[in-house]
Order: sequence, then C-alpha cells, then structure tokens
Amino acid sequence: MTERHRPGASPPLDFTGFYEAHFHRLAVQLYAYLGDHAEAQDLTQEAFCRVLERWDRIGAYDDPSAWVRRVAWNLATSRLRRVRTAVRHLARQREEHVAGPGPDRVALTDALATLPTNQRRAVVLHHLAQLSVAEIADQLGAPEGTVRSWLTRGRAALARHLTDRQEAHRA
Amino acid sequence: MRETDLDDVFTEFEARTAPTFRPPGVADAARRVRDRRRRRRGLLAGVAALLLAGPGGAYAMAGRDDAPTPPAPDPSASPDDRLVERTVAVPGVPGELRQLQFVDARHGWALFDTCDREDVGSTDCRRDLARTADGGVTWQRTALPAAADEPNLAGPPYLLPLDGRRITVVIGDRYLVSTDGGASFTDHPVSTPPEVIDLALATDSGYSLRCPQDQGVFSGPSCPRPRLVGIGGAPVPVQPPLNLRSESDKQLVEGGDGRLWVTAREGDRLTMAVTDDRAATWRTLPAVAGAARLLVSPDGLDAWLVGISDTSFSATDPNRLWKLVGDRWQEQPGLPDDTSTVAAANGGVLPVTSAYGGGGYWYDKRYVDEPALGGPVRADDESASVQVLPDDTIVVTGQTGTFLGTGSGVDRSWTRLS
Repeated sequence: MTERHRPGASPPLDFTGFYEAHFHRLAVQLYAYLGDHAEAQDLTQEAFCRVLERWDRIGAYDDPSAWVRRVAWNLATSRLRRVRTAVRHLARQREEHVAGPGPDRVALTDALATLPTNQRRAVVLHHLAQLSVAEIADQLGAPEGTVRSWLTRGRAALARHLTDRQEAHRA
Repeated sequence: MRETDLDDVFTEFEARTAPTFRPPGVADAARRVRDRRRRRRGLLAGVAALLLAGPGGAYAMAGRDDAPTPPAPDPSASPDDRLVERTVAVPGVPGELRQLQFVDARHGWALFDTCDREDVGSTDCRRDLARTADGGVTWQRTALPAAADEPNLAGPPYLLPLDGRRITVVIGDRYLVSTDGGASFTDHPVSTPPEVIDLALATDSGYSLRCPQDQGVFSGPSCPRPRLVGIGGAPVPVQPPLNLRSESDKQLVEGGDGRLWVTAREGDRLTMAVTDDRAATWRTLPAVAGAARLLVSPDGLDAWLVGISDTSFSATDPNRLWKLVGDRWQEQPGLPDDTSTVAAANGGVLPVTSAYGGGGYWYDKRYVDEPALGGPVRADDESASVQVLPDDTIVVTGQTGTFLGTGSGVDRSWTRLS
C-alpha cells in the first residue's frame, strides 16, 4: 500500500509561486517522455490550468506538485495514445535533428524513443521525477513488480543504446 | 554503461533542457480556465435540452447503461487442466474491471469503472463494486453510494479490503466503508478515518508502525521515530530495539504463529528484531549486508531475507536469498536472475514472478517454472507481482489478469480471473 499525502494539512500555497517552481521540471519530464518540445510545453500548461481550476482544494494539500504531475502525465499518456505515438514520435525525433537542440539532448530523447511506452514512462518518472517504484506504481495504476521490470528492461536498453552511440562516435 | 552514468545523463539532460521552456504564464492559464468554463456552460445547456427531450438519451451519453449484461461465460480450462480461466462479469455493471483484490482463496472484491483511468476529473464516471465468496466463480454487485462516482483528480479509486465483509473504497479525500459485505456504506472524510481503515493497514493482530499524525492511508508530517502501536494507537509494552527512522526502509510483519518481526535498513544492512510475547520482550537477529526485505510465511514458520526491495529499485545484486536457521541467516542459492517479485508461502516455498512474464517457485534450493503462469512464454509487458494471502493462497497480479493459486506447496490449482 502506498501512502498518500493528506489533503487539508497545509495552508494554501500561492499558485504563481507553485507554477514558477514546478513548470520547468514537469515540462522536461514530458519532453523526455513525448520527444516533442512544443507538445511538452503545451501539456504542462494545460495541467497547470486544470489544477488552477481546483486550486482552492489542491493548494491546501501537502504536496500539490504530485497532483499536477499526475494530471500532466495522464494528459501526456492520453495524447500519446491518440496520435499513435510510435510513428509520430520517431518522425519528430528526426525533425528535431534538423531543428538543432544540443546533441546530448537528442541522444537521450533518441534513445528514449526506442523504448516501449511503458518502459519509457517508468524510466522518466524514476530518473527525472525521482519517484520510487511504489510511487510510479501508484501513479500508473500498475503492480510494483511490473514497474520494476519496466525499469530493469528500459534501463538496460537505454544504456545499450547510449553505449552503442558513444562507440560509434569514437570509431 | 553503469547505473551512475545513466543518472548523470538524466541530470545533465534536465540541466540543459529546463531553460529551453518558456512558460506561458499564470495569466494564460487563467484565460484558458475562463474559456473552458464558458464552453462547459454551453455544453451543460445542451445536455439540459437533451434531458428535456428524453432522459434515456442523456444517460446513454454519460455512459450509464443499466441494462443487465449477459451472465459470465463458463470457465474454460487450459489443456493441462492446471489453469481455469474465468471472466469477472457482473449483471447490471457496466465499465471495465479496474481492480481485483482477494483476501483469501474464496473471498474477493472487484471494482469496475466506466472512465478511462487517465481521464482525470471526468464528471460522468460510474463505479461499481462486486464481491465473490466462492473464489471468483460467481459475483454479486454491491451498491456504492453516489459519492463513488464523483470526479477525482487524485487518480483512480482503490480498494482496501479487510476480509469478506469489511472493505473500504478510497476515493479522493474520503473513505466509503462497508462492514456488512457491501449491503451498506458509510462515508468518512480522511481527517477521521474509522477503525476499519487502521485494521486494513495493520497486521492481523492490529499492530502498525506509525508516526503520531498519520491518519488512515495518508501519512502525516514525518516524525523522528515511528512507533509500534496496537489497535487505535494503543502503546505496546516495549518498542523494538532498532533504529527506526521515518525515512528509512522499515517493515512490520506478523506470522500466523503470532510472532512480530520488525526490520530497519541501515545503509546496506538490514537489522531485525522479533517478539513472540506481543512486544513484551524482543530478540535481535544478526544484521545482514545486502538484504533488503524480510519475508515470513503465512504460518510464521519460515523467515527469509531477499535482496529485492519492495519499494526501491536497485540494479546491483538483487537476487540474493537467506533463510533463518535457528538464530542464524544462511545464504541460499540465489533467486533467478530475472526475478521481479517474490513472496513466502508455507512449506519453504517462495513463489516468484519474472521480469519477462510468467513465474514459478523457488524451493529445495532450486527454481521451477509454473506453466499455469505462462512459464517460458516471455511476452512483452506480461510481468506481474506476487503475494501470499494469510491462508497460503498465492495471488499473482499482472496486466492481463489475476491468478489465484490454491493448494499447498508447489501443488497448486490455478485460476486466472480477468
């Protein structure tokens, strides 16, 4: 059983401060997951809008950032499903080579794009959102063992992909 | 590439990527919210018109269809007769089976939801609860209060069953509690959890490790030292002689023989203490480096340590295994390399699930596949988690169904419910 933070335990935070403190971090996570910079920014904004609508309640929770993260990831997952991600995601990766973000960023988003969706989601939540296995399981509604296996396999594939790339550069 | 290197890659990625985002700002967010409210008012006007024209149409729109569904199909047996397949279908209950929880081989609860689990904040969800008292052969719907259908940004509701009659549906910031098999429910805010919540989170005799301000499933502010308490927070005679810090991994396990075990992680070591007289006296056991978690069989006779943590992820050395023999921990041949989850059953058996799907048993110092769980078929994303219920029933929960293994030792009959 994963423990949740108790609503109503803290005084409401200022929404502007909350927005400024968490926007970038969340946008980075969605970018790593979706591989699309503009979409990541738009979905992050949409998640904050939804939280703003209910801020009188959510702002009083112990950890409102967990709520906005959950909403943003749910939005991203729904969006990803709708657009039949794999093809579009890879296509966008290729576009981005041209658009010109730094090579290191492309290397990671490229490698992440090769992972199955569940593995990519678990890896990003673990490494960028710093969630534990239990917290990822709670957020995704999946058994902890399943999350652990997504992490095991996703990390192995990611490391393999990045190592191959490094070696290809050296050759 | 090593684990630490991968951590560095992500850290650098975040540092370089974060400044590239240009937040549209709070004013933009407020504008979007206003626009959405305007659109919603328009939509509500449309729905009102539909209701006036005929309520049936509006109900269909909202996904509510109370027409009885066909009875559950007959179970189908797999060729080797070790696996019976059953579909959990309840007449009159629409929606998708979202959660299945068994408390013993016969009694279980099922939660149905008409909404997509990712569609947070939906206003037209319908949630239903059903129970079985015959191992999933038949299911009876229990009527949930209307509060169960309310939108919930916190994520999907979940079940906290205590036994075949007492259950809590945790939904947002409230508890819906039944103590009569679902015949009736009471509604409780999270600030005043009823006793049944604490009992569901405690050991069989009602013990738990808690901070003073923890309430039900919600953790309060962290405290310097969690305490072992009885039902209702009642003090125990003597606290376990361990360094129980709230942030450290800690465990409380009660075996069927009444012994209470408490563990605490200290760096790489797992420290442990056990009592057989309801916390009047404690005996410490040797600390074990590399161990992450204690497993105790339902009858309390076998105690094991495993390197696989329950909540954290480690890529190093997760498959080590120790067995308590007398007062010493003896290392055993390790679990399979692809072990994902492991639990302890009676008779020295450890049911195991694989990271690549399927599962089996570790016993008598070796591992054997259980064909009913998929065996060597390593389908993608078919991995599952395993637990053992107090009556020694093995439950394997996967993406495509829940497996119940009844019997004893490795001689089990399996039922897959989906």
